[in-house]
Amino acid sequence: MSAHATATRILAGALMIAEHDVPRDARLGRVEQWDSLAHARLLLALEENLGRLLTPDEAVAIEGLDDVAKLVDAKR
Amino acid sequence: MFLAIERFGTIHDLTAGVAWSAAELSAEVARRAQALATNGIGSRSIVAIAHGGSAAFFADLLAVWSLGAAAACLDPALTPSERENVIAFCKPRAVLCEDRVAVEPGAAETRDHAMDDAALILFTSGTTGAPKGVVLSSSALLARLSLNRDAIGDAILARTLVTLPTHFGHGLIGNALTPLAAGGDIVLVPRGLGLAQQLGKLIDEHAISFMSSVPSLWQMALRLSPRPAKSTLRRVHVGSAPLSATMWSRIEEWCACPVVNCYGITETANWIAGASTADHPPSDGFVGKPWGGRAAVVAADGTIHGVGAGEIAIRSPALMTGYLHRPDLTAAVLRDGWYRTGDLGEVDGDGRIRLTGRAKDEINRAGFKVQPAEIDMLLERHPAVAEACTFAVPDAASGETVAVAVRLVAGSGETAQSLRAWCLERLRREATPERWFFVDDIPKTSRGKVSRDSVRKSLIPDTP
Repeated sequence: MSAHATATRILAGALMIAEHDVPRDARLGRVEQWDSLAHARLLLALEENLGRLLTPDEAVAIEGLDDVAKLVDAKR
Repeated sequence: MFLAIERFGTIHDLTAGVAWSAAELSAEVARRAQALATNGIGSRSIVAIAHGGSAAFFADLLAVWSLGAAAACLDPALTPSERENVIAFCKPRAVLCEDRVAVEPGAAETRDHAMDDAALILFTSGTTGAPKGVVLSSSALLARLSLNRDAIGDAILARTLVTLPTHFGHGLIGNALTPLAAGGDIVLVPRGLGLAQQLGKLIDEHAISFMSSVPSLWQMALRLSPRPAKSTLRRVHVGSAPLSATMWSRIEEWCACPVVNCYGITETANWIAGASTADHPPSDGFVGKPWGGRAAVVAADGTIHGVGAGEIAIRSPALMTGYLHRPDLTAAVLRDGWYRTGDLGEVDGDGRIRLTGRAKDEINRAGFKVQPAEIDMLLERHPAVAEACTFAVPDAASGETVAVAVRLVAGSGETAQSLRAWCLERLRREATPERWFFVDDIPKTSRGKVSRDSVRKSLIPDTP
């Protein structure tokens, strides 16, 4: 599974929507379901995927699907 | 309801960019009260306040109280249909919005206000069905403010950050009115992701000594915000949703001050008990001794016991009078001076409370209470929905999230997205289901009733 596909799966889980409903350019505040609680859910899910806590710099930098994919890719 | 406004500190409203001293607030209150009195508002009136989280909200609230009237504080995020439903139910003489006032004509009323008269009405559910409005008298509110100040200490309440909404007992009574009554300043900030990102900076910039919060704020702030660089924080409360011992410890480490796991319910005018890390190590569900009043448990036969395990019951001078226009609901929970909370737990020989779960179906989404039956009834008004069953699903970020099983009318093409969009037009966002399950049948008990627990377990087997 590509980093982008994994990121889409993680984000869909956090937003509680189907993977095919996640826009390729999904960004915080531009997807109706992506509110502060969904963002918290995303950070927790990412930490589980990465197997470690996010650093504050990493957490603050997450604003879109691409940012999630970069973190997933960096783990590989 | 009388509060000595001249002894209040300053209200800093960062969104509006205003800071009202006690003198400026008093002038605003007098101006607004005059306008309401001109329209006949008095001690038998209910006035709905449909905005919140601002200095103007406090001016309206105190103006209503200065006339001896009761304030019904509505969630500003209600949809128009939800707001209409609540207003039709509580029949206010006036509705105060940010930019306008609507007044029902009527006879002028006096300002006579007895301590047992209604002062505050907070809605905990029923914005689409029959509303459930908690009525708190002046004596209950004043008792709670006094008990809170006694438990916390006025010096600690000198500079308070208000992170919670003001239509919410925790936010209004605990986080805002308690410090104001203690002569402290409050700082009103916009909520959401920005608050979590800026929390440490806000605490430093405003020399915050006290704040309350819900656990979901910390899920974000611990990851997104650097710790405060200064040492102004003296006490932090966390409440309205379960707080794990692990999260409790992490919050204490970030705050570098005692963190109190609070037990508060709207029906008890907010905090009834709290356990501080200054006195006890963090422990799951532990909320300490009551701050005034007593805790007990209800046995299976309905008798009340001072020690044991079961449904927690509370006796307190700050108890609600009852639910507005709902003697049936009131009688079910308020008996012989005890309020039956619907929370399961234990009370030990020293009167200390440990919470272990819920006896009711209520869903607690990040501190906001959602009644599943309300969502079922709304969805079943949709022409494509034959049956709906709403239930709680554990969620790491919000404690619980709202899920629903839906049986569609045969041939319907509705999707989760289309039903969610339909709900968002009629229901506040926090109550709108996030997880949707489409089923051929909703399982029933042998008596033909829907068991929300059974539905959850059948759809998500790995939940408790």
